[in-house]
Amino acid sequence: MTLSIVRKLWTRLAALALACVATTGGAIAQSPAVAPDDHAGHDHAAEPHEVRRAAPWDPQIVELFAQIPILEQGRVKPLSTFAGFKLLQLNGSRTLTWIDDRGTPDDKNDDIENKLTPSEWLLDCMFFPEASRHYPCFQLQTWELLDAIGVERIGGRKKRDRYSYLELSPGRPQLFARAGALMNDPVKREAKGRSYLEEQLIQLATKVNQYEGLLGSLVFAQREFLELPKEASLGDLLGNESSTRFSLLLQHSSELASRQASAGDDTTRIAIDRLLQTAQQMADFASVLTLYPPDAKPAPMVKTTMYNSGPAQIRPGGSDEESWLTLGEIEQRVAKGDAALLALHLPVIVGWEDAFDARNDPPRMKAAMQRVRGSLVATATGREQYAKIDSEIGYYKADLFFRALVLYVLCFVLVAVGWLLRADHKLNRALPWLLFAPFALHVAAIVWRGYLRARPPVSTLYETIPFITAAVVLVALIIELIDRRRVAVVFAALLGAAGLFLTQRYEVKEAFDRGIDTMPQLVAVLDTNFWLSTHVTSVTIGYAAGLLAGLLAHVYILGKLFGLRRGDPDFYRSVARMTYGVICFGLLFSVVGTILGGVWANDSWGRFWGWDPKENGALMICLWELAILHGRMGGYLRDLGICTAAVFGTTIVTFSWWHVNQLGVGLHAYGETDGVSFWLWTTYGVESLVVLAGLWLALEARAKRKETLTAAKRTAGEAT
Amino acid sequence: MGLMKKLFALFSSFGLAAVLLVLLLLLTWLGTLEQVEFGLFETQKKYFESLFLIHHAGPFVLRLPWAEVTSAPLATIPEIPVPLPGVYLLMALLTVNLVLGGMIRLRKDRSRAGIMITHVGILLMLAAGFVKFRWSHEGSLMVFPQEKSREYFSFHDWDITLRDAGASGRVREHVIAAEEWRNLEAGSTHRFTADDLPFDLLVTKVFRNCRVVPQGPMFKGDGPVIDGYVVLAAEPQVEAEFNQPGAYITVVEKSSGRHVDAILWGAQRQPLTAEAGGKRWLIDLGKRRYELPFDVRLDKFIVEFHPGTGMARTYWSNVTKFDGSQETALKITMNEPLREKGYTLFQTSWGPQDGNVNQPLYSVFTVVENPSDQWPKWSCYVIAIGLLLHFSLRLKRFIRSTRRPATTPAAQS
Repeated sequence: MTLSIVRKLWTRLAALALACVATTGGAIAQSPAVAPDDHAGHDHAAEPHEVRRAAPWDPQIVELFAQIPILEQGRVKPLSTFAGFKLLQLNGSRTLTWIDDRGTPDDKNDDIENKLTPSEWLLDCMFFPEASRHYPCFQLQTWELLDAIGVERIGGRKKRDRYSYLELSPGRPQLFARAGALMNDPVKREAKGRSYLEEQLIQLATKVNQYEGLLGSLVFAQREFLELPKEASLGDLLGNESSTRFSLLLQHSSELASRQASAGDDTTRIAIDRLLQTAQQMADFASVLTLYPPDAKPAPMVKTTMYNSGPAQIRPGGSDEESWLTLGEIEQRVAKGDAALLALHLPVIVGWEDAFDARNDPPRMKAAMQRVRGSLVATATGREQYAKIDSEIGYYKADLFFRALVLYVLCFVLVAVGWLLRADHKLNRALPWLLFAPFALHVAAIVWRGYLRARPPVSTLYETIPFITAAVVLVALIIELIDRRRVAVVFAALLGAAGLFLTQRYEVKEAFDRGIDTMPQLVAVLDTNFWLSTHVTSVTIGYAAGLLAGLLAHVYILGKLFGLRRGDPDFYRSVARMTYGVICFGLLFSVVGTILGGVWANDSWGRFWGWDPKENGALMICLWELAILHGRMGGYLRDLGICTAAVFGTTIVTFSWWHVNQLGVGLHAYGETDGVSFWLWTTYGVESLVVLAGLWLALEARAKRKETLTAAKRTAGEAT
Repeated sequence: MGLMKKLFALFSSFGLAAVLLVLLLLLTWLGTLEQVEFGLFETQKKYFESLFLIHHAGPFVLRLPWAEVTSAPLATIPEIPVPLPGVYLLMALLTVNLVLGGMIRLRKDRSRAGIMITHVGILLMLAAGFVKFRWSHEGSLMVFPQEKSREYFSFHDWDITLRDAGASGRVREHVIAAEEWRNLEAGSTHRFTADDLPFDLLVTKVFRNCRVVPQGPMFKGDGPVIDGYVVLAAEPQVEAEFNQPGAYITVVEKSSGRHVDAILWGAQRQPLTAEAGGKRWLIDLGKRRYELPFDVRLDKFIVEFHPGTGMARTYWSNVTKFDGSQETALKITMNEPLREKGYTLFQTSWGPQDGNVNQPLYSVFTVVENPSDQWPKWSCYVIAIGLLLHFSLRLKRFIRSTRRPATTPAAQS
């Protein structure tokens, strides 16, 4: 594992070295592989031939580029999604914004504000690798990282700020040396054994490594690297110019090999060998993009049944290969004589070359990109793997979660205004219905995701967040429609906004820390739509209800604590009843969901119950809610008691939903998330304070009752 | 009120139910956290399968939430032993409470029908858990391609077995079950004797997890040196199935009193050989063996990965079941086990994980014999119906009450 990482890092280093050589007009045919230290010592500020983009990207080129399919993390997705998550991983945001002050220093008038979308940024990385190294697209969580890799802090930057590749590159050798040492350390190899800074170092090394892969992905299209050897006369095959094209080399690779074999002198043989090796290296540098389907036949079919996907079936006349290829793999197969593969992808390779040649000539570049896109889309369509690409582009463009978030916030403002008005004011009557607008967008986004993934709404930890939020909003709206006290509607708007904000932040966190998008492939045990749609959905609705009950209970406790609506016992009774009702609702889903989970485990792991942390978390919610119900029926808990217990219930839900994933043990460890401990403990702390407030109110009420009783007894005694 | 009535009132009370549920919650929480350090097996024994236990709370190291783990703590509270009832005891009490309070004492009318149904479902689930705990066993069956097998091995139980080395065909084996010797106290001895054996076997020292190494200057063994080897005790593994137990034994020939000391170790490749009564005997320490009532042959194991990744999308075994003269071709895959004659075979894993592309893969199944296998599923249906019925009635009442005119002050008081 470690060896493979080190090997990959080394390959990337070489790729970057090549890209840097390109910027200085060096020729790989004449330059031996440049060692990383050499590269680090290179003076980037003095790039003499840096080609910069002459104008903003033509929107049509961007659109064509975005629609190109790519296989990544086990699924075919549009290049725009790939670019979006790569930028999120590096930059922590899908938009790259920076001030270009490469004019006169200190003169702010010639500063240009640049803003790039993910696709534009990726286009720059591929077509203008030299210039894009100036973009500050690496977000560093702390400048201690700079200290750790021996880069001087830059004046005017914040502790957490963004840096360009060129700014980081002096520390590059140290970065990779330290990351390599950590990966070789038996304790630090595991994330659990690393400090925060060490974790950041590993992440940064991974990001730099991937970024370099992007920079090198069109090196093959730069013909200056492929100088024709004067020693061998290859003009009839490769043209009569001083350098040739990668596509020509690929086309004639077998002929070149035979000429090499039959060459009478060593000089010619070595010259051809060097040329072929260079071509192979260039193809390998593009390995970060798995763009090429192995054929145009329908891909092996993965059955989607109720229980699991089943084995992939090869269709009559279909392909038996699922994986797509990198350019390096194409080069290898073509070298072994795979003429069909060459015929299939030659137009794409030529298209990339033409597009690169015309990178500052939009009409020509557009025509080339049309050929690239057209060929790859046709192949992917032939394999029936393109059907949802446009829809996925639409999904990310529409950004329904964000739009719903904005509307929830707007509704919350209206709810606040409504509290200043009479209860029967038109606005207050309309509010629950207004909230259905963001809710509809919210649900539409969940359904859209489900369609894209061909999965029920919840199959990852990320998806639990919007789903639980939607369930909370729906239950709160129903409560509000039944009991119009303008309490549940507050939570519908507030929690809707908070939940979707968390959704957005979690997406960024997953991409930034782990480099994965939010539609990952599932491990084998989760590959069952039946159990995902029954057990997982039920349990998450149970979480939602537990949270909502706890939050409603806050109104009761905090209201009493601060003496709000003191003369309105009906209000408090109503809140307590809502809380109790939501607990009952949650109990139904928690119990059924938990037992269904056991039934699933009985079919997949061979036991109904295994005391696994995630199972225990779900059980704890059931036990607590049952205890509340029995406490109430026995008369031990009244309104205040139920509300206090419900608040405590939120800590149990939090533990079950998030904390058990942090423990790193058990069969459900696939939901692990790092770095949320602070927020978990903050939640526990705040909720504990509210519970203490509830207990204090209970004690106070008890003392008052005692006092009243004593006074009554005294009065009765005096009377007798 | 008579004693019986008082006891009935106590054991059928809501108060007891609430207390038991809270205690169960507490133990579940403690048991969850404890797994991180001690692993599931040990935690399960201590918290979930016991009558009583001592929970060692702490030590508590107080630090600011944002402080580095390596920073000096604000304060440290030492470990506090807390006696607690075990989940086994709590479950038993909960069953009693459920029957007395939730079924016998429960008012039998239409409004409580949902509660009654729910309680029946929970009772069924508790019964399923009890039956599983008492009468089920499980193990692992590993089959290589084209190999036929019916033997599977326990995950955690290790037995000592004795058999005649010269016997062939169906061999009679003496088994000294793990339960007899694994908790042997220091200084005591467990003697195994059988009429048809010419020797007695004494277990003198037991190790839950250990290594057997050649005695040398760098090791101080945890027992006597035998034939140049000594046992080094090791900490139990967090994953208990990876423990390698060991034992010092003595073979005492009945006729002569001649005795031989020896070491048994779970990781030894060959059984120990001892001579007694003019015969050679094989003594082995191995995982407990069970037999299926049918044979299973692995025809082929197949794994598919998500394209371009090392993540398995699905994996399955094509097997043939041989039951007498009957042969049946079957597929066992994740989430779709084979259920046959009270046994269930689950697809667990495969190997070798790092084998080359053309290497045939073996398949590993978890085999479970559990008489209450499907009871939880039925209990789930019953509980769902009960809760749905009960809460629907409650909701109806709630909606009605919200539509009722505001209560009068008199009614409120």
